[in-house]
Amino acid sequence: MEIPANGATLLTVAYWVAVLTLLLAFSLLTVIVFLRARSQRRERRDKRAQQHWSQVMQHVLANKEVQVCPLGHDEVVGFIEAWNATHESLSPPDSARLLLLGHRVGLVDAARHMLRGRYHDCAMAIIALGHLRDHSTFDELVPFLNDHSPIVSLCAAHALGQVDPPQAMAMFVPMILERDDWMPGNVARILARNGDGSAVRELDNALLRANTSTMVKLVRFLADIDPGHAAGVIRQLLDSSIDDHAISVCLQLVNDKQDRERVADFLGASRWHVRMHAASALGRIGEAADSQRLEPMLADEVWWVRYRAAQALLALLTLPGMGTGTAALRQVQQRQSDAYGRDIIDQVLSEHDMGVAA
Amino acid sequence: MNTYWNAVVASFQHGSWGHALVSMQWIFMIYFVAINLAYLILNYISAYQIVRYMREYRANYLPPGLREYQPPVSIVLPAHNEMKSVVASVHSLLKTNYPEFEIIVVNDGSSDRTREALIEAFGLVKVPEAYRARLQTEHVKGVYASARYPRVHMVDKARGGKSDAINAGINCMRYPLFCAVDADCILQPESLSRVVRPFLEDRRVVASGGVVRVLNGCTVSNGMMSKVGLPNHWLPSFQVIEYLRAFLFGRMGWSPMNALLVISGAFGVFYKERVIAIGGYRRDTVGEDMDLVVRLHRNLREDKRDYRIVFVPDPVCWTEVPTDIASLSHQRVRWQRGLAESLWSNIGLMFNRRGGAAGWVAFPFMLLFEFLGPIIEVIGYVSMILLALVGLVPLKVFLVFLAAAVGMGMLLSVNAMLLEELSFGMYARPSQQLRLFAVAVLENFGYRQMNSCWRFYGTLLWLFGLRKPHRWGHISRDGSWLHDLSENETMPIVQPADGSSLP
Repeated sequence: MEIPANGATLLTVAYWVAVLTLLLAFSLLTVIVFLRARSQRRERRDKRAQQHWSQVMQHVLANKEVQVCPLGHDEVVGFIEAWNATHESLSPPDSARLLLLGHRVGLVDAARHMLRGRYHDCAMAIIALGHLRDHSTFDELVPFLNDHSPIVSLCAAHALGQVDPPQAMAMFVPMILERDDWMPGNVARILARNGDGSAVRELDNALLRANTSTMVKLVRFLADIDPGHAAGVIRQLLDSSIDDHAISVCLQLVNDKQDRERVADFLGASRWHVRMHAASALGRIGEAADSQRLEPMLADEVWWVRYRAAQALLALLTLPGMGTGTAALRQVQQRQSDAYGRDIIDQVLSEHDMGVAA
Repeated sequence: MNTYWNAVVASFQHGSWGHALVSMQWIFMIYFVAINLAYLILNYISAYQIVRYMREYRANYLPPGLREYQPPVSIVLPAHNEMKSVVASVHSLLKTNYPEFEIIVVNDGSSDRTREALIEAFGLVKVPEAYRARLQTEHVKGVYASARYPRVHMVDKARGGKSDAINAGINCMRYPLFCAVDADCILQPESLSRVVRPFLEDRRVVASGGVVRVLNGCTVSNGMMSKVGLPNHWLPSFQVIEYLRAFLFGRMGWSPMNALLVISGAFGVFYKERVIAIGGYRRDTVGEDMDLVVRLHRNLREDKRDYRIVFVPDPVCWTEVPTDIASLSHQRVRWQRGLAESLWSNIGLMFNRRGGAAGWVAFPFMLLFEFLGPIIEVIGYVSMILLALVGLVPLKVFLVFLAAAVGMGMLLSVNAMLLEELSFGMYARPSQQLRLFAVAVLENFGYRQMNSCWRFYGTLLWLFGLRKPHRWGHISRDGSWLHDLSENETMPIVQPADGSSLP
């Protein structure tokens, strides 16, 4: 039996596909095994160095005499990992006791070399230099603040904040509005770690130049680190004509009893998010008399508004001098003609009894 | 018999349809090259993505203080007749290092003591929760909460299937993001953080999935993955390679194009309001996880919304795969039916004016290679064997074709192994890599063909309308990884089937 004419071409194609794919597959296997072996060797090496240097650092912290020489090429990664891990487990005064060790082993030079290396090494080196708090490294770290990667740029912001807080905050705060890829939680923590007041000062400056929408973003951070100062800005925002999203943000942040009336004005807002946040805010800053304002909200068409209103009522009715909040809320429940309002009070009371709440 | 056989051979050799069958080998060859080329392209897109991803996230670079901010997540755990495993699953979920979450176990009309086991283990009491039926479900008998475990809630409802159970969980949850988890999955402490991260980095993200890996052969301590290993048996070993291929480039490759059509039902995070907006999980399909993602694409594109459905290459969920042929075949038939149902019911997405890469690339790909693939493969196998038997294809030709098929299969598998090595390097010893390679070679001799036949059968079942509403199935698993669990965390040998439509 012979193969048809076009079958010969087909056979040739299949033959070469077979040969090439098998060759490639075996070559890739060789690469994989090689990579695995190399990676294992590196891991062992770095782990050894990390263990050794962790011990040395513990000795330094225990005020023991240690003899050290400059870091060898093989030890840099292990040392930096040990250095970063140890610093993160210490309070700033304890952490300062390691600085001399960092200088003696030549951490600045080793880290400088790593800053030009792979991404992983670069990020580790930035963090390490931050812990070293050496002013001579400040200018070298600054370009990383503009790195396209949020991880590297935030690491740089954190490190710069350790090296020279006022100068770092002057650079970092204006960038908050430009960098949408920076997670707000991370920004807040970098600001919160600033202990010399420069973060508040810079936020203040930025707020002076901000428009309404950017103000909302900045005031969140300000509320975290200086609630008293933020209260004025929040008040100003609530009095201006801003959009519902901005109002919701302000209502989440408001924490000053002076703003009770302002907040109460939003209980009748058309957007349910605003009503919900207003109810919560009133529960936080209100007085027992405000419960009259919240009661109608138990019949709101949106579950979340009813839920937050019931929680706020419970909080207001539990205020000092009000007796048992649960009994008072039961009385409110009896007055409700709306079944949804009664149900939501049942839920909030049972959560309260069990210590469960969202 | 001999005379009859000779007559058959002669009719093949001299009849025009015998030669037509030989010519058809061209079609099979073109299809074979096309499918493998498409997978290779996906492979290289994935490789680029994974290398980029690993560059950024290989380690937790951020100092601890910067890692803590995470949005709260509701975890939904649908359960049906899981009396022995559900408590361990909840304990395992409670060990996640995620800062703020709630666990909603939905007891979907279990006939065993699932409900009582949960009540006893977590001190649950019925609460008068103002239940919001935003998604229609079977009757909800009660909502339970616990003072001792404030994160744990239980919804007790009449039986309605996995989709119905998740929908009931969605009705009860408080947080904006939710994660649907199969009751028989093992997570890693950082699983949730990894899959939630895309939501923090891009506000357009509505759904996010991660890699599901094979649990067989691994060690689990205190409900969490502690040591990664390879299974001792061939059948689960084949599935290790299969899962690597399916997730590391089958899924990852689509993510940068925003054309990912499947997020495994075993572990995926979704933006709750978007899921509610499209009516939640569909109850009349066995492929509810794929259907949900395809419907999300369809609806969001119709609404002209700028959105992202993303996939992270992190291994976030470990699942025990079937160890016997019957369970495996049952699972694969279900998956194929689920795929067919999801594609067919959302066919409007394909070549839709607003379909984007999902409608113009991923959907036709799934239809051509995943849905029609098994049919073409099975016809190809049968015709090749038939032609070889009647002498129309000489042994040499048969062997060359076989070598080409095996070579392509091996190349794809080794590429997946390389991606694994470049990313997480979970299989740490070189000997494990060599073993995986052996598996990648051997799976081409029987396993892949068997798999195609099951999927072919699944397609036929769907085609001839032998569809049933979603039910809780049963898959036999060997539980070989259980040895490290303490008594009260022991999971049963026979687990209820996962409802995932694809790995």
